[in-house]
Amino acid sequence: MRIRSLCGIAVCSFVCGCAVLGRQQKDHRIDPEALAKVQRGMSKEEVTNLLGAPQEIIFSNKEHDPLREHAYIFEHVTTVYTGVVFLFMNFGNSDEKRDRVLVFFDESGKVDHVGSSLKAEQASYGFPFGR
Amino acid sequence: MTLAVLSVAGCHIDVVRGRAGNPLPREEYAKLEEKKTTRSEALDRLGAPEKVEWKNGKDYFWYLYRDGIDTGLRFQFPPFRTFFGYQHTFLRMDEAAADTNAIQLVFDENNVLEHKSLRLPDAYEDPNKPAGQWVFSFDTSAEYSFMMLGDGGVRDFEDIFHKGYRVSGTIGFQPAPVVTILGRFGYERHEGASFDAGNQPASVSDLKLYLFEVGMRLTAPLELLWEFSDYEKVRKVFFEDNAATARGLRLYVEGTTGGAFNDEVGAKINGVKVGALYDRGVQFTGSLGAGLEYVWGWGAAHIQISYQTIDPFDEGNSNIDDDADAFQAVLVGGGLTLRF
Repeated sequence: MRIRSLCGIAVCSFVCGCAVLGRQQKDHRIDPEALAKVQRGMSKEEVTNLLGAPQEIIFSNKEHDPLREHAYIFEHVTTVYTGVVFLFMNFGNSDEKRDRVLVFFDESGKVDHVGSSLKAEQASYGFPFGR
Repeated sequence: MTLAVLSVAGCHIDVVRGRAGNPLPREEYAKLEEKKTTRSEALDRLGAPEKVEWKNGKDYFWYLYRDGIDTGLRFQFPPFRTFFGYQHTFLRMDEAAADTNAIQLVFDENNVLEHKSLRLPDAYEDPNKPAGQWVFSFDTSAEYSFMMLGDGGVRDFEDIFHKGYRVSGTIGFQPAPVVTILGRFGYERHEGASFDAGNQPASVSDLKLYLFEVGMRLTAPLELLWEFSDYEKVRKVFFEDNAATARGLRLYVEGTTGGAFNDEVGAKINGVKVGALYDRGVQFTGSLGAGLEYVWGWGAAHIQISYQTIDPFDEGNSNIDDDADAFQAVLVGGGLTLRF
């Protein structure tokens, strides 16, 4: 009977459990259509009208114009969490992906060029194993 | 049994992985040329960097991919959560590794690449490497029950029934190289035996069981047994191997639970039917198994030993003592698996 009880506990520890799925989003998403409208030569105002306020500003730090705005950074972060809890074995996995856009301005304050990575949608649930 | 002891001792294993960013595109990095590639070309190839600084007219870009693994072993008491919630951890062992892959680019005042550098620690994964694939499998097994344990009522089970066999089919879903979710159906039969029941010759009909179980199997390459202290090896097996391309000799342990439907077991005394020793019914079941499998691609062959327990059968209407304990059996066998 004792052996049976121990075996029962071990079996339950294998097969009983629960899964936890979580999703966390930080800041608003970057609209790809609005991003596509950002063109070289646009003013800062036009850029912020399309993409909203930037999360971060990179300043020039130069001696003669230290506060010249060199680039705007727009960012949206999605993190998804997966947890699989067994009685004696727990697996957890988090995957963080970002939408990130950098808009560089020339010395006259016009858009010089744009760099973007829209990857937030690629955040995926899964086991901690594999890629 | 080891698993049972570990469970009772309050052993908990934690495997937590955290990733941030995307694996770095090594090929695109190789295409960047110092003194030639412009900032806009680099942005077009690599996208927006995770970190940017502008100092003395120079742009500094960092592209980062972080991959961290935290594995831990905890011993807690009480072993399982109670009404009061509190579990005291009296021993915890952790092993953590957090690697950051980085590309750094420096552009001069004319927006031309001045310097580039790349750091790829062990955690680097080629973005072009195929992602781990899920594997489905269908397994057929035949096992011989060479040992029966437990009190069958009038006599022990091993006196009431002959040694038997179990055939089963298992549908497996393998989301990761080490984990397979199992759904199993099986048929088990033990021929009835003749025995003495209170100085009277008695016999019973065959015990026929129809099994339906679900469970989980943990699998790892055999060499992991003696390379368990090699953390890099363990990490590779757990986190980088692809279930679809796993090959060779592998060790596994599995646990399943579910139900067993048993047919009525008729009884005779002095050759005359006296009713049923056990009534037909459905009982809770559990199995623990360990085995070796050889995987060669689309198929696998395995041998295994397993321990099976089935809750007491429903009492029949005969006047023979039929107040049985759980039916337990130890089985050995093997089978073939199709993987797709």
